Amino acid sequence: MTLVIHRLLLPAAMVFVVALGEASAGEAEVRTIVVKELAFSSASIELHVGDTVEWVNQDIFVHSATADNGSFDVELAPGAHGRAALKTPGVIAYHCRYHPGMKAELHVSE
Amino acid sequence: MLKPLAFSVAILAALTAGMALADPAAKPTDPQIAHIAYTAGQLDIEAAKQALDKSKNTDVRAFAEEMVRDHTAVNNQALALVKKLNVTPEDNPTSQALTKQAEATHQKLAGLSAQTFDKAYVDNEVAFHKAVNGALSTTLIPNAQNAELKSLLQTGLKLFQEHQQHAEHLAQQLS
Ligand SMILES: [Cu+2]
Repeated sequence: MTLVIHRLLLPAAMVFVVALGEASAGEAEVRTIVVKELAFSSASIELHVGDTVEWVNQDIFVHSATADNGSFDVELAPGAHGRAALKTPGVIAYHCRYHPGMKAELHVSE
Repeated sequence: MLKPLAFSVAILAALTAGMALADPAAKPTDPQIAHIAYTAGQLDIEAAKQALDKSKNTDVRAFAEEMVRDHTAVNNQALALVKKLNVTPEDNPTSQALTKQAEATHQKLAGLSAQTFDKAYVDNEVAFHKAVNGALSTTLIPNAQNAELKSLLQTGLKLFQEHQQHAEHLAQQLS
């Protein structure tokens, strides 16, 4: 009998988690951008004001994620990660201070 | 004064003639390719150390520190790889020509004042990286047999291209 209850509870719990996920969709999130082979991963992600971007450096080189407009400058040691909070909407171009060919953009909506 | 273009041409000639000298029909083997790539990195580290001794310019020093850091990282990876593959890097005429050329440059640069040094060092960095990029893409990468070696050389090429671009920006800034 206990077993039956658990079986019934489990899907219920899952529904609850999914509902929570939906409820928080409009709230702040941490979005990961992988840095690898001297490039910022280009997979376009939807970003919103209040989100945090986390760069994960998978290279053996030191990189940086430096906003062209000066709003953030994150140093990324090999294997390390670093974050920047997004406070304003718009397109933020950024680059690596060491490797000038490393360029990317963040598209941040309200 | 130093002539970066002539320097670049000299290296390119050395990189191709070096192979031809060894055996006209021969393509570089993996042990030779590993040796050439490692040597190029070491020579750039040594050039950077000279810059850190002589230069007072913040941007030039930052660039030199980056050269030491990045090329050390790649070369450490290269050492780990040859050890894993049980390959012994093999000295060859191309490595020797590169080394000889770098020694000559080192001597020329040693005689310059701190101010003229900066521009000469950066111009040579542009030429050196350009020459090595050419050798990597036309000779070393196409002839590499081992997939892991090839992949490391490709990373090396991306890195050298970034360094070339960085050196070009710096050269513009200095002139
Ligand atoms: Cu970088």
